[in-house]
Amino acid sequence: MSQDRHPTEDLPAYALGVLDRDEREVIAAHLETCAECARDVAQFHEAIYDVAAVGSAEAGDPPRGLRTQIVLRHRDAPVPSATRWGDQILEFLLRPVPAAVPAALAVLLVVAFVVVGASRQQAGAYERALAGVVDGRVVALAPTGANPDARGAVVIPTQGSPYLVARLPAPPPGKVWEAWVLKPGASGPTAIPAGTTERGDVFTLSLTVPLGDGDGVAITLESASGPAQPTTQPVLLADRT
Amino acid sequence: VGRLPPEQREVLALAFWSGYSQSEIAARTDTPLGTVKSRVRLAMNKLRESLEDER
Repeated sequence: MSQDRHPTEDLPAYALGVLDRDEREVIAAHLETCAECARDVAQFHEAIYDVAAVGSAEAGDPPRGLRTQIVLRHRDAPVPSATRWGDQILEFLLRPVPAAVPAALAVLLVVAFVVVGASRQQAGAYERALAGVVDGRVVALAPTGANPDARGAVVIPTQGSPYLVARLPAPPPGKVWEAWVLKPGASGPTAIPAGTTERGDVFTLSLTVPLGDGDGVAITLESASGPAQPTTQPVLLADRT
Repeated sequence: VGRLPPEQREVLALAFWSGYSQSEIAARTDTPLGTVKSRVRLAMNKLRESLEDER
């Protein structure tokens, strides 16, 4: 797509994350070379973020059980491929938010999922899994760029242990999906291993570590031996719950 | 958002809460894809204008 053909009509949908994969890739390529369109997308992102900040429940009735979910779709830039995972997390957490967002948003930052290129059957299974949550809080995890088609959420029941609902491809042989609870600290979050699974598609994973107020959650691809610290960048991340 | 027409709120809700793509929203709501795209575009432009007005 040349710069003199701006995809103006598709920019709102791109910002909202509702384009299909092929459409999204075309727009993304254009944005790399067009500051004008990139500025428009940034404004749409900010509008979405602002809506989330003031209470997106007005956007309509959410699926049953998702009543506390707020959308933050502002942080869609890929996580840089740094070698130190801690640095990546820290950079993600320190990324500035728009000035228009009230500090109250810190109470709950939830990131909308992006469904691109996934089968409707899988999306339906994922939605049904979340819709089955009748008593608790659901905090969505953000796809970080390592796997833009990933979806995930932390379910924090009123009673009982928190667990993850995720939609990810099956890990390669010898690998597992590993969940981490991110405990905030003065020098950055500390990642504590909180469970592994070899499953793929739509699955649930109970967190083996208590989830404190404001803790983050991440999922990474790790070796089956289960390292003590993450060795790859997260595919899904919530900087705080 | 509350000032948006119901059909525009609906597409935003499906995008926000369920993460569907435009084509998935069109299929689930039995609405032509072009209509869904138009609603997304109108809703998002109104949100952006509203944000600018508040500043």
